[in-house]
Amino acid sequence: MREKIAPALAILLLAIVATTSYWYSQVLRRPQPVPRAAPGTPDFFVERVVITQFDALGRARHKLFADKLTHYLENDNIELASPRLVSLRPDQPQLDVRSRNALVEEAGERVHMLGSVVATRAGTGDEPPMRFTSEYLLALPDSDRFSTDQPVTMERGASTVRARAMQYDNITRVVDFRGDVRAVFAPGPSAKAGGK
Amino acid sequence: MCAPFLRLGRQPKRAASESQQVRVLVPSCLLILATAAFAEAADRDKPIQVEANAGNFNDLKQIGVFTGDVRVTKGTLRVTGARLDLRRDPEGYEHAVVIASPGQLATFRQRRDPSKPGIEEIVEGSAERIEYDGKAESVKLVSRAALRRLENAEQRDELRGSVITYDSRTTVYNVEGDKSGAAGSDGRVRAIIAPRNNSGSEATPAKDEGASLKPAPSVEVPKK
Repeated sequence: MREKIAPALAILLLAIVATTSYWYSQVLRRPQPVPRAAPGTPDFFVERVVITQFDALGRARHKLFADKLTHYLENDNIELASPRLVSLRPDQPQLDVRSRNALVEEAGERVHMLGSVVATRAGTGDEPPMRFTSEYLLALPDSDRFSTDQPVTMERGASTVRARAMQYDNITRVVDFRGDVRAVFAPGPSAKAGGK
Repeated sequence: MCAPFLRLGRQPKRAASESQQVRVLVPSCLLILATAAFAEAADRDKPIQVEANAGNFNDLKQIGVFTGDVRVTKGTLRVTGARLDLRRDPEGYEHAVVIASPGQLATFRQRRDPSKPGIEEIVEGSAERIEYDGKAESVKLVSRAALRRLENAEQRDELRGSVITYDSRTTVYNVEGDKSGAAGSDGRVRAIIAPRNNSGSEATPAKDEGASLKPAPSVEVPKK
């Protein structure tokens, strides 16, 4: 009888050891719950930041300045305070967009400029600067396109255009206005000079 | 081609009526030297105001295209239509083309510089296409063109034709008939010219006509 109990005990002990070690390995392999930040809490912020993006040839394509950059881990979004986006394409006049705040989505592909937005296309030669003002502007810096679904005013020299919405392509330099378009074009320089 | 004469056909019924007006039928072409009928000179220096449902502005080429219930104002000049193409040439002169939607007419209205005290002169017109040339200071009405001159809201002169051009510097109207032979067109132009004196006396319309309607010293051949 004793000869039979000893091997049985040994098998039982080994089974217990095997089960316990398997259980420990499973527990350790299970992902540890990460302590989550409450929604709306940033994981980091940077003050007085300048982000420069380069094209394939190593030329600066645009610069983004902000007083404060705040990053949110939950959706990888970035909030900017007092942002200024400057488009620096070498073959295009410089475009400078400022606003109170901005929300950057999709790793900088979409920049929502919010509050007192002023976008200025620099003057070139005899062309006066062109300025858009609105309460909202969506900037797509990679394609140099800007649009808004909010009332917008464009000023160019002494001429102005107002509309309910607009789209601007800074490469083709074409603006599309939609809804209640009201334009005032100042007389040309020749009309002023040649007036009776 | 312009016929080198003016055939004045007096409409007896019309002449007997309240207005001493003469209907003039001229083959192909008509030139009228309007007397003291300058367009409001101040309009030239006024800004162009545009109202529309949508607009497209090319900053590089200085071209604007406006669509949907377009209203254009420049001083006393008012033009309406479905589409406006506006451009500024390198010298700074404006060129505008207003087109009506199919089946509709674009309209044009402008106040003249007053030539007679107490009389407000208005020129209004309509056509399928209205072209304004700021450099030549001319207006061209194309297709189903009509132009009327009003004094104190009362119609005085009327021109109808295929193409009417009005040069506000020389104050010469040029009317062309439809040469295409399109259906519903007899290729002729129609004009009603009011007598230029306002006495309303016994003066015969034919005499009045002679005072205001001058055969042009040189015949202008319409451009083809």
